[in-house]
Amino acid sequence: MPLLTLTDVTVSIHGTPILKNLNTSLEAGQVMGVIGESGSGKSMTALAIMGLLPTGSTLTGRIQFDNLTLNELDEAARCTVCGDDIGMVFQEPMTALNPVHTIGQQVIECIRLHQSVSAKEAKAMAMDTLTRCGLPPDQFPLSRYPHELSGGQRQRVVIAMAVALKPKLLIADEPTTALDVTTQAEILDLLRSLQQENHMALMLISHDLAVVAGMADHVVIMKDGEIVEQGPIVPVFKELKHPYTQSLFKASDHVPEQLSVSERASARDRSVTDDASALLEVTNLVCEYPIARRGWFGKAGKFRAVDDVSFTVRAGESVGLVGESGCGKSTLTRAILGLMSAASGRIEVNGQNINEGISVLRHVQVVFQDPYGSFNPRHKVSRLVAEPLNVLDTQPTREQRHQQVTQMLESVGLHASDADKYIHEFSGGQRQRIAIARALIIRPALIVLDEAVSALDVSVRATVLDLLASLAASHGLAYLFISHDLSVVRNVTDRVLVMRAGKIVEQGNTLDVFNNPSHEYTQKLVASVPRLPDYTHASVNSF
Amino acid sequence: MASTTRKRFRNLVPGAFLVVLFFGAAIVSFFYTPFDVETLNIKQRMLTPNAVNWLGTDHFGRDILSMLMVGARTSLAVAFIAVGIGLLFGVPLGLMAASYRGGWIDEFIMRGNDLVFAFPALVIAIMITAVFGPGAVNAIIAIGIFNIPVFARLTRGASLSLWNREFIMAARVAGKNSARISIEHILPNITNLLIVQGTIQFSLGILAEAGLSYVGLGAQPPTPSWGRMLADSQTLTTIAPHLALFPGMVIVLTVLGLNLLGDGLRDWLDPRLRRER
Repeated sequence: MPLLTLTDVTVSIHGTPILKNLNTSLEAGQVMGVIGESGSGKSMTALAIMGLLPTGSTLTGRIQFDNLTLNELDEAARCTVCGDDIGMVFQEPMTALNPVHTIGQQVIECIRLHQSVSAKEAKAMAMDTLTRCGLPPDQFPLSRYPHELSGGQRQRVVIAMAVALKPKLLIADEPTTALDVTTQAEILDLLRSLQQENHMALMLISHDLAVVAGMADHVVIMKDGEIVEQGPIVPVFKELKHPYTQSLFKASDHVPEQLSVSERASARDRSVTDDASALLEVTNLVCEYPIARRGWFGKAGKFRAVDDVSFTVRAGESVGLVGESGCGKSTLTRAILGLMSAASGRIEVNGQNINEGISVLRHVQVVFQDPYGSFNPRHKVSRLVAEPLNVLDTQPTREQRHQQVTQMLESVGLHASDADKYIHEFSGGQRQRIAIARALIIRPALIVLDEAVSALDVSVRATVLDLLASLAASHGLAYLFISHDLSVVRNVTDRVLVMRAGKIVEQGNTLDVFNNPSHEYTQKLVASVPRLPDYTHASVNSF
Repeated sequence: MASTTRKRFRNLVPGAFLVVLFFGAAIVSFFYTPFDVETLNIKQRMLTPNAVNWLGTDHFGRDILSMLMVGARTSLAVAFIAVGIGLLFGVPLGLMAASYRGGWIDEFIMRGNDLVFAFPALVIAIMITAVFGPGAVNAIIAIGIFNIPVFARLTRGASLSLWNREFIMAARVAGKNSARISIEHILPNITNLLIVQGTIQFSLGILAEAGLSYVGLGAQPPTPSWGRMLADSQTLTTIAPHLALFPGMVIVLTVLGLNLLGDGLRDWLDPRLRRER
């Protein structure tokens, strides 16, 4: 008998259907990968199993766990199952821990809620669990607070809380999405080893096909609250029967057509020769942040976020900047945009210093990561898109403005009538298109893409990358593509810079850097990227 | 979307009704009151509500309904202008402090705020009264000064978090200076907070005016105000409770109406909550 069985599970919230007739099952000790884009209902499925559905939702069908029907248990009975036999790991390690309790208290609380053990025994169990999760007490005493740990270490604590009681089922909802790629690899290793050690069933929810491919025995592909395809991973990923699975596969390793590597190489040979003028020239740039003074008369310290960085971007070139969180990428972006002043060094755009006034901003514009935060929610699209026109010497007339906005919206694949809408009426992908329209309206030579596609679903990401590629071709744009996502950078850039702890540790032709990384950090980064195995030659009968 | 529309006006309509009612009464009192409020009629004193004097009469035989109508002028004007003073000075100060965040201008404005905060409105009022003499105008100034740091703080706090948002950075990349960003981007995004705080300060203003009148620092007799009426009725509550009941009720209802109106306006002005076209 399977450990977990979902039979005709349907959930609606205030009458809106969220999950439709889910039927699936998970055997003990198996790993099930649940894949879907945002809004597909994958997290809602996890919440339904845990009984954590938001108020106002109704559930029909059966959720069978062991020999219990979870959705028919009362609150108290359910609480004894959840946390004891079912553990859960959430996406955001920053918010999943209580900041005012030590990590030891939080793990111990978990244990004592479900098992009547003495404080001493619970402490021993907590220490044991944290050690198994890679946080040995000699380096990470139980008295540490969450803020004293890094994101990856916090996620280890969250996992420790979930596995402390050796549950039969662990549900991990995007456990590595908020983490850096090298940390992601470590956490996935940890999950895998815990799962095998304890013969625990794992339900791994992710939007990332490669992550699931590396872990799961069985996959469930969800779209709009329905399971579109499920089965053992090899046949599903090899045969790609369902068109949605196919499109997910295509999109997740998408190479924009106009920018396929060979074409780019030849195009660059034609248009950008080595002596082409440097569009952006960063020379020995140093950026520092003050660290809070200790006491009234203490000396203010400085944190060097960008340390002696030099590079150039030539006209029409697409340059990637990769690095993990905290490496100084964002500070560098801000300095290039003139949003913060450098401690020393120079940034020149077309030979003009970035701090020389607003006219230099005619050549550089930016697209930010967050499609929700980068627009003033109180302005209409027409006003948002026209904003950069402010840097021009002669302000366009009303009609010219309107005309340009229309033209830009159409060039990014939106409609002229969208100019009269507010930003909340658009989806994430559409908003990123509007951000691109805003950056393009003054026809800059360089657009800084600060994690511009990181927040988008794979299929939307693919269309935005296509758009960027075609705009680069038609407008002769150069891109500075800042990202932590190495696979995207690999597919769209000509050259790449690898940044770590404020310094550029390696730079060169994208393919050279990715295929033959010379610096040890780059090697580690490249090795950590989860890859989709090549299923075309895999044998269906191997499982 | 009928149900959501009804939900959206759930606060706005009753709030607006109460506010219009009391403002209307104040305006009507300029042209018409059932009785003259400055004529004393000792024979008719302390009547309970009846067909002639709808809300009864006070200890001088003045009609309470008429006094409440005339008193609304003082109470509402004091609160309204005091909130105006707070917004007029506090919001620009807060915006300025936020745009120079961390600099000496920010420090100067915020420490100045602390200084004003350190004196309760009543102390400021006594100070002003000591210099200029008691009266409604001085009450307005005292309450108004007290409002400035409230709005400055709120504006600065709300603006600070906005300054780190990406749309502000996009505006900076579009070459806009701090003052322009403050007005174009920051201010519209904090209006909802200002409206809510404004209505709270408005109600506090009415209560503060009542308090100042109560200790004799507000409107001077014979000008009626809601606070004075409450103060005067204090010694008579056991004999004629309606003397305290009606002014108390209008104060409560006005404050309630303003709070409802504030919440309603906040929802109504937010394009995210506005109905999709």
